[in-house]
Amino acid sequence: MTVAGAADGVKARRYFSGTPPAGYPRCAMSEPAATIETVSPNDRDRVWLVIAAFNEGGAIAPVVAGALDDGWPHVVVVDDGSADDTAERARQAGAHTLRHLVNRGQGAALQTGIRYALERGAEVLVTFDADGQHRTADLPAMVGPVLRGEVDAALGSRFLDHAEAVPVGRRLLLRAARLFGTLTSGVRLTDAHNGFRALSRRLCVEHIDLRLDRMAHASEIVDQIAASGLPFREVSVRIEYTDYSRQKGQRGSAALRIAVDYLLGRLLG
Amino acid sequence: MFGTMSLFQLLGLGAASAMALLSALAMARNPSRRVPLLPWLALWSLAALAFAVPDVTTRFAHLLGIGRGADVVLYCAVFGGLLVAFRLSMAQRRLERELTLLVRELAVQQARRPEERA
Repeated sequence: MTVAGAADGVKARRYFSGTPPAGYPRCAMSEPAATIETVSPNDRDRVWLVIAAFNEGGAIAPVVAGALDDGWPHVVVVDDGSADDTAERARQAGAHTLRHLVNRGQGAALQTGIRYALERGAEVLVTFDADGQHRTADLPAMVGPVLRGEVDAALGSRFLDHAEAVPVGRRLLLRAARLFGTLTSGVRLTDAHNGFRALSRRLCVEHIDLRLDRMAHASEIVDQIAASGLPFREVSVRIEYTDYSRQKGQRGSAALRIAVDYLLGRLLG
Repeated sequence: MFGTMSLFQLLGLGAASAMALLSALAMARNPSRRVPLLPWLALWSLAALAFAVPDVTTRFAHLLGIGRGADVVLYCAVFGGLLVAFRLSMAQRRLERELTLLVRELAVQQARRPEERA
């Protein structure tokens, strides 16, 4: 996929109610696929997939194996205090595995995985779901712009091209989350709380420090990306909804808790 | 003085005095805790005074422009409760943060490399 950077002045979106101040983070939509993005084996070696997993023993092995078989050699799974054999299955499937002794939440697990990957020289870090919702087929389009240095963050969006694949209930919930995110962070994205992201090493080292341990980290990370002043963009991805992923996904009732957690985090630090 | 007190006043005075005494003893035993314990000593002493001489709260209320002494006690209790809840919440957040950092450190130290794939 050929993607145009906002620096080129192509398809830049307005993400604020007013004119963005000079130097404020730029964000552009991905353009429709003109060519298929490819990533060389050497470049794939620079990419680390970070997966936070909690009680995903039934799903984690195919996710890890799928990524490795697709030519992404570095996968790190952070088992967030699972009661099942998630960590062992992930390791057997070929992932680096870390284990939180007690459950600390997805945000905490991702930060652990990011730290580990950075210590091993990761240049591009991809946050990827453990339940099989994300497709490795979307990885080239996600990491390509970051590898080329066009942006420091590529944020997956299921609404750019594949909105029809999103169940109605989830679509409404995500629309509310998107509005909430726009109001609180000033960053207007087409998708909120999409866990599929590609982040540059520079961004992670200098600006990403997830302190909201649980699901509110998804808003916090957008805030930190925006505050970094580094360019970012949304990239179209497809989410594979299965009975399993729906069962594991966040329920609407959790939305209020996430919002309160996020606001308290911003208020109290 | 004690003969004119109600049972509620006697019980309250006894409890508040005991807490004030405990605070004073703790301060005497542990000099490094004197500053943090001082507000507690003051609180229990004032509570004991209010139980012993209820009119004190009324006079204090009038000073503040509030009608009844009981209202002052209620406002102070609500404010104090909120303050304690806030401090406990902050302490819990700090503990949670430290727990996460500890868990993360252990996870990174005990990271396992992948098994060789066939």
